[in-house]
Amino acid sequence: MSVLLETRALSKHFSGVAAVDEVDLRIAKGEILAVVGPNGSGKTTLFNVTSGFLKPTTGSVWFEGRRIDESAPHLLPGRGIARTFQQAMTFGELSVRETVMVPGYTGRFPKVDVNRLLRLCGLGDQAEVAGNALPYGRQRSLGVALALATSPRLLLLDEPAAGLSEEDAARLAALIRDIRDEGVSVAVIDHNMHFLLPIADRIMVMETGRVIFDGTTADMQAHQRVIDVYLGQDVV
Amino acid sequence: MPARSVMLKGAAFWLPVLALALIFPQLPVSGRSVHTGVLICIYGVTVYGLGFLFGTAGQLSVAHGTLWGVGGYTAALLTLNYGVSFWLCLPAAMVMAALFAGLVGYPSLRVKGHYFLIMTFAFSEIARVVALNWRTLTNGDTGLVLAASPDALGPITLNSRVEWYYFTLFLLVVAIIAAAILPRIPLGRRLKAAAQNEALATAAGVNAARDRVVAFMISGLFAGCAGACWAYYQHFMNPDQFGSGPGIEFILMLLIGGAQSLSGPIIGVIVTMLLPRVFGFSATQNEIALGVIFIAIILLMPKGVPASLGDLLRGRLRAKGRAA
Ligand SMILES: Nc1ncnc2c1ncn2[C@@H]1O[C@H](COP(=O)(O)OP(=O)(O)OP(=O)(O)O)[C@@H](O)[C@H]1O
Ligand SMILES: [Mg+2]
Repeated sequence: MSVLLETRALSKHFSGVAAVDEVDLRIAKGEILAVVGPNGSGKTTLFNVTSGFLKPTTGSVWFEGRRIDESAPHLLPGRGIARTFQQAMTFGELSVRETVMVPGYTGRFPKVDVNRLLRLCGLGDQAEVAGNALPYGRQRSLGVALALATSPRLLLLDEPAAGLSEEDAARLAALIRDIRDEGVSVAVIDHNMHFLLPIADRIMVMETGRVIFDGTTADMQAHQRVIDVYLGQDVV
Repeated sequence: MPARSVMLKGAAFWLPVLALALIFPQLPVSGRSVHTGVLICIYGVTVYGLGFLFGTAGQLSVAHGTLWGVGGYTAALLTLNYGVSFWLCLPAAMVMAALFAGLVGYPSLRVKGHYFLIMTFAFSEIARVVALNWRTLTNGDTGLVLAASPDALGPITLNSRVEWYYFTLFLLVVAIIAAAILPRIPLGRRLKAAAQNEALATAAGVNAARDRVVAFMISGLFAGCAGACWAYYQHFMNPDQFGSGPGIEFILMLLIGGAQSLSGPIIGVIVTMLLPRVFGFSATQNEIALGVIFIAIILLMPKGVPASLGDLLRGRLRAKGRAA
């Protein structure tokens, strides 16, 4: 199993408090990693540091064998790391089509088939709709489409299924599998186990900035403490 | 709207306007009216540059009064000290204004919106003080007299007001075309995206800070061009004519007309220029009136007058629809 992304003893402090505490994250080529944990456990912060939006307090981030935590965040998509945001974000009145064309205007990415991409993300019939006029769940799908428009090798998704209908969530799950099958690694944060567990190759559980479990779904089912305390009783 | 109908609508507005502008000096109008026409064209060039910056990159700048002055002083000094032809001064003034814009823009790389506005204000005041006190270069508050008229470029001569009018109208048309094209090139698309949501644009690989500096430099080209024309046309410059005062006036012109439509800047310039003449204001009364309008627009109509009126009307119509 070859490692695509790795963090080494990565910490991020906010005014002295560790939001991420000595985390050794490893994402292999072509795997789907689920990142779970209670609110405020540091999942989003981990993604923010990994994608260059925040500088680590200590530790380092490595991608394809090169150190990336000193790179400016706008350069990392060009290196192959794409991310979405926990809050639904749009370019205001820019249409769905115009939105996914933005990476193309940087000259950093290979050309993509926009119509196909929008179809894959369930936005095929809304290409000309303004991003900010989409329902909340669809705005997140637009975020996924925008990330995919950079042809990433690693995709970091922060709660992509929040606000999606069951049907759209199922479509997203299938899309994430397809992306993985094309060789792209995906790390997904979500609170919805019904969405996550069927697609995850591996699960990482965080609590107060630390990793308290990292292993397969099967292993986790034996890890009663994780189930009881952090995931709720009804999920597995 | 399909591209074709947009173009038709655009032509329906611009062709009559252009025709009127072309025949204007041939109508029985006073020399003073032609003079106002020249100033409208010169200011218009600057305000279209400002409109690109604001409408596409979302940045307002007070520094355009100073960049305009940089253009004017560059042209005047090159001619007075080195006898350089107007036709070389013009591009030199544009480049110099763009370089100054880069000088302000680079340290302001990370700041946006109001902070950027304040940075440009500070720059304007610093530049004015430097221009006042660097007497060996600028002749201080005595100013510079540029008596020469531009030399002929082939058949083009700029000796009379009418000739100036047609020349500056040509520059204005070029500026309007540039302002129409810039938002559609990749840089313009990136700027628009980043102005809407910088984090999302960054995740899409956009270097928003660098693009903003480039946009500021491009809008400096417009201001430098206008400044060089102004210096040659007015034959006189002094530091008080540049700086935050005119910079704020340019912003006012832009906001009165609105930056979202291509016709906004020119409407704003014309309204602002004709205001004192229509109401017979003195210079002081005019400044006070403009100040009051400025504050009213900033507070009540941040998107510019036409856009805000449009919103208001739509709101009324919706309210009526609900009531019915
Ligand atoms: N920019 C910031 N400044 C200060 N504190 C922050 C910042 N971002 C996050 N935090 C804090 O860091 C901790 C971890 O937050 P984070 O958003 O990473 O959690 P999370 O696991 O993503 O939670 P959720 O499931 O609610 O999204 C929280 O205590 C949060 O308040
Ligand atoms: Mg989060």
